[in-house]
Amino acid sequence: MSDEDEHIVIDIEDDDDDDDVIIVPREEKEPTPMVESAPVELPTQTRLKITVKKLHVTAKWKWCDVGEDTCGICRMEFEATCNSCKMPGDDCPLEVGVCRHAFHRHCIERWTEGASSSQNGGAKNGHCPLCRQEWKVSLRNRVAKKKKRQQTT
Amino acid sequence: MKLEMSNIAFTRLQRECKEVVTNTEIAQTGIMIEILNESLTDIKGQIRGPPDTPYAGGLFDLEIKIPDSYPFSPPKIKFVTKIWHPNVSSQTGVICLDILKDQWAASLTLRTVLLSIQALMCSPEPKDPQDAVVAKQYMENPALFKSTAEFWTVRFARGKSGENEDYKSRVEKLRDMGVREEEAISVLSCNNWDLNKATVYIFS
Repeated sequence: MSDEDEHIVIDIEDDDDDDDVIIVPREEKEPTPMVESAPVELPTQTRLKITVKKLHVTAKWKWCDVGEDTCGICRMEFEATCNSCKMPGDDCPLEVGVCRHAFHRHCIERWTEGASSSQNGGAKNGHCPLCRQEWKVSLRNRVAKKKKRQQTT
Repeated sequence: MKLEMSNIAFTRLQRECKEVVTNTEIAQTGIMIEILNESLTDIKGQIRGPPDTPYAGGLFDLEIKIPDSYPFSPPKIKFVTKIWHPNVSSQTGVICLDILKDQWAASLTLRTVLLSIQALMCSPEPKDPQDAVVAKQYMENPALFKSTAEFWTVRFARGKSGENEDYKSRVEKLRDMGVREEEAISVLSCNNWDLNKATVYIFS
């Protein structure tokens, strides 16, 4: 195993336009160089010489702008992905409606498409499963994200 | 294990079952579910008759069948325990409730559905009946409806309150003529406990 393999490299670049994942904290956009240039010598007041050989970086992530922590359709945590996905991310981000209710994209798509609902003859369900308001994806999240980006640049 | 339903239905039901079984609040509301098979497609529901209704003291069993497309389609639920209620067929137990049909929403759960059925037991909707005979009696003769529903609760739902002796003796008379108890109660109830009418109905 080479030395580089031992370092954990976190890729948090997510510049896809349809991507709603925001990693917190947002400011640390490029934390990777520190991990890549090992070992690092730390300044010290004494004769003690400290060398950082290995660093485990853990990151916590969550979806922004949603209050409840589980999807009302599949009952899984938002961060745990919907039942048909294995990894969270671009394929199945959260969709937030204009009514502010959020669901996994796959879950709400299956509901609105009425794919297998033989009950109403496969008719489309145009309403939010939680409040029965008309279902429309809110664009607020993406707008907010763009603003944030402009602020950081 | 043979997977008979989609992954989403199975995983969601696992969570729902935990929710109903472990929540002590649920125990207090008087709803319960029991898993009947490994693939979670057959579930037994139970609702305690709400207080201050003719169903008080009774335990009502329900048959719950989970379709493969759950939660995008509603569960199929009907009463197994016979019940005298305008929105439930006194013959088949089929329930008339909008959320089990066109008003179903994917966010509803077994818990919320059972609570809705319990609420329906408290407030019948006679204008949207499943059983027209019961609904007619409910609107035209509320006192008779109440005593009939109470009798059914004692007889079929393990209710413990005292039995209406008058009704009991009429049932016995029909039974002496060789009529099954269940049929005797049903026909008498549909004929406002008129023994002559009931006899004519059965033997004509």
